[in-house]
This record gives sequence, structure tokens and C-alpha cells, in this order.
Amino acid sequence: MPELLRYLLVILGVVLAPLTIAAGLTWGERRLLALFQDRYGPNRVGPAGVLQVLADMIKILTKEDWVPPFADRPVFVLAPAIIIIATYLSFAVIVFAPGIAVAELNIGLLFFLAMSSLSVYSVALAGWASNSKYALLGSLRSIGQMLSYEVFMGLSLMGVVVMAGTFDLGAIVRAQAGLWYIVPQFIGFFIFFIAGLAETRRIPFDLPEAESELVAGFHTEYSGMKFAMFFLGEYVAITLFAAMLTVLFLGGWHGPGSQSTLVALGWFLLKTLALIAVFILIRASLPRLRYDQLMEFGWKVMLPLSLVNLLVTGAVVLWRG
Amino acid sequence: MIELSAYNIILLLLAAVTLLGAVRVIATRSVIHAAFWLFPVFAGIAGFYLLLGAQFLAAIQVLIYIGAILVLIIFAVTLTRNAMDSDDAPANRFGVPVFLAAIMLLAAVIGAAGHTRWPAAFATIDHIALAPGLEVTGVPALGVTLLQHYLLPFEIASVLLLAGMIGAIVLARRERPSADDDAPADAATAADAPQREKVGV
Repeated sequence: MPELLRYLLVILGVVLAPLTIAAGLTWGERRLLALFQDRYGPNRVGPAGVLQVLADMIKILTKEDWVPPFADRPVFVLAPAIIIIATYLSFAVIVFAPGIAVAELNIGLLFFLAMSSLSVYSVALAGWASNSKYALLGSLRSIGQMLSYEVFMGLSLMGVVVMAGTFDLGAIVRAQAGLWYIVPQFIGFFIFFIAGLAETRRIPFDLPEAESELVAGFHTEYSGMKFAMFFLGEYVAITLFAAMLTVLFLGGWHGPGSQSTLVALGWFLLKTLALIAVFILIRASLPRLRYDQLMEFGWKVMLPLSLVNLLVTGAVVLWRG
Repeated sequence: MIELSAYNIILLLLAAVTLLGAVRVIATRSVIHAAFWLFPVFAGIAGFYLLLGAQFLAAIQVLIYIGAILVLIIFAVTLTRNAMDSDDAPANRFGVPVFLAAIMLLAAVIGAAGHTRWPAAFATIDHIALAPGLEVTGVPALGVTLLQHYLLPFEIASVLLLAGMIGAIVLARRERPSADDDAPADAATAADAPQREKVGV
């Protein structure tokens, strides 16, 4: 049954690839940050420090797995799992190359939005179950932040939906064969990118874990592998947002050269990795926002901008028939 | 006796999960755990939509009810005092009226269910006539139905939501002490100020 075998291979690839990229990022991000800030970064373990990933893994797995006695135990254990589950489920609908996807749903984009809205539970439950004031403050901040930025994250993508006329991710990529949507939908790209930063709680928006005021925010009480799951979850989420940006705005697998599946996959990987590098560059160059700045920027700039973008896109599509 | 097809087994499992969650919501003493038990209820309802072939509604159910409404409920409960160790049963003076209202709602739902023509097992929404004379199917059909055949109810619902939003803003702003009046005498009021204020600190 070659068809079944091919399908199993795709599933295996979709499970392993984000995890590999995320693990590589624990080293890659530190190396890139060091490069941007004129330092060396981890360069001792193995060639160029690559084996640092392994060293970190061994360290984290041998650490004591501590659950505070004042914590709500089942919820405390469940929280780190949710972030991995929610981000991983979204990878199921991403179309990496023609025919290479776990499930090509005709509501793929909505599925992604629904799953990414679940990841807020991880942070909210972690902060609450820790029963500590820093963790609770971090989780309250993150709920406010992620709910607000989800609103226009969804709205910013509706311009793409209006242009392609479908929620099917494969069809959206095919509709970009002539022109990538980053050109007509630049505002949508910009807003979705910023919402992605906020959803993954990366640096201009890392208030839920602002270490200078909240110790480590929502994961203050976490250690060992449970902490590592939050850490990995963040990198998997970055990979997910980079892949979604590639699918929705950068033409997915389209690229010059031969049309074989392997080349298509290569283009997809290249675009995704380039976007991840931009994510890291932003972390290296921007300071953290204040909470009221974050909320004002979200509701007073991004929300009207995404509504205007949707309105103009709709009008243009109607006008051109 | 119900025929044991795959469809019926999934249906029964979903119903069991949904009902178990619903029972735990009202039977759990800790308020925050009651809120957590709403999760299987909302997820189970999304599952029913999937079984009916309404993928769009299922995704929206997860997005709105699980991704927004339940998160806000948990947010609100976390802000209440002693949410962690409130093991006393929440006092409720409205037990009997609420029970009567629930019975009436149940009767209405059963009545409506009896008059609905349900799609066959694993049908898709494409095969259901949402409105007479509709030519498109799927998500576009939903849009056309809402904005052409049922435009008036749609607009009335929008106005209702807008009214709710304005009402919430009015209620939230009323208790706030005026901004330019932070004399020491106000310290007591500031302490009692809506806890919402503390979120931003």
C-alpha cells in the first residue's frame, strides 16, 4: 500500500520537522542573537556549538521535576501539555507542497485560528494553578494580550480569504501562483506578523513573562521538563506562525525552478526559516512595551487598520467583479 | 434499541462527555473548576456540529465559545477573591426559578428538535437547503442566508450586541474615581476600585 505509506511518511514528517526546527532554534536563536549583539553565543559544545542542544536536553531532563505543594496539581501538570497540543494540531492543516498535508480541510484557515485560540489556556492555567502572585499576574496579562490580539489576527486574514474566496489553505496557495499576497495584502501581512509576535509572547510583547518585574511571569513555578515544554512550545509556535505567513502571504511552495515536490518543499522551508530569522532579529532589536502601550496599539491602531484593510479589499474585489 | 453504527457510537460518546461536563459544572464546589468543566461541554457541542457536517459552525464554536467566552469566564473567576480555596457551596437563592426556566427551555428545545428535518448520517451542510431557492452551498450559503433571507433578525442581533457592549462600558466606567482626584481620602475607594485596574499594573 504505497498510498498509505506515503501518508504515514507525511504524518511522521509533520510531527518531526517542527520539533527539529524548535530544538535547533534553542541553539540557533542564541547564536543569531549573539551575532546581532556582537557576542559569540554558545560555541563550545561540538562544531559551532551545535551540540549545545543535546547538552541542554540532558541538563533539563535530569533536573528535579518539582510541583509546588500549594499548586493545583492536575491543572499544573496539564498546562504545559496544552501549548504543545494546540500548536501541533495547527500543523495538521498546513499544506507544505502540492498534496503534502496531513488533512486538507476546506476550513483549514478557521481550524488554525480555532487551535491558536486554545493556546491561551496553557498560559492562563499555568499562571492560575501555580497559586503564586507573579505567575497569576503574568497569566492575567497574557489572557488580556492574547485575546485582544486574536481579534485582529483573525480580521487581518479575512483580506486573504476575500481575495482567494476560500478558507482552504491549499487553494489559497494555488491562488498566489501569479502574485504573492504580500503585495496586495501588505497591511494584512504586517498586522498578522505583529499579532504572531504577540501570540507567541515574543519580545516587544513578552509582558506575561517580563523578568525584570514578574520574575518569570506565568512559568515562575515551573522547572525541569515542564518548563522545557513551555520553552519548546514557544519555538514550535514561532515555526507555526512563520509557516502560516509563508502559506498565506509568501506563496507557500511557489518558487522558480523545477516543479517537483522536493523543490517545492525546499522553497517552503527556505521561506519559513527566513521568517524565523526575522522574528529573532526583532527580538534582538526592540525593547519591551508597557502594558497600556500594548493595549492602545492593539485596539486603537491595529484593529481599525485591519477593518479598513478588509473593507478596501472587499470593495476592490466587488468592483473588479 | 439504537443501532450501533460508528455514527451512533460517536454521537453517544459526545453526548456522554457533554452531559458529564454539564453536570460537573453545576455540581463542582470550586468556582474555577466549574469553569474548567465548561470546556468539555463546549467542545462536545463543536463535535455535534462536526457530526452534522457543519464544519464552519464547529470551527466558529471552538473559536468563540472555547477561545474567547470561556477564557473570559476563567479570567473573571481568577479575579475574584479566594478563587483558589472557595470550597463552600455557592449560595443561590434562585434555585427554584432557574429550575423552572430550565424545564421550559428544555421543552422548547425538544419541540424545535421534533420539527427539524435532520440530515442523514455524516451529511455535509452542502446538501441542506438553508433557505428556499438558494443556489450556492457551503460557507457562502451561510453568508447569503444570513445577509439576504434573514437580514432583519441579523441586524436586530447586531443592535442587541452593540447595546450590551455600551451597557458594559457604562457599568465599568461608573465606579471609577475621577482621574484628577487622588487625595489621600480616596485611598479606601482606590482599594475597592474594580480589580480590573490591577490587571494592568
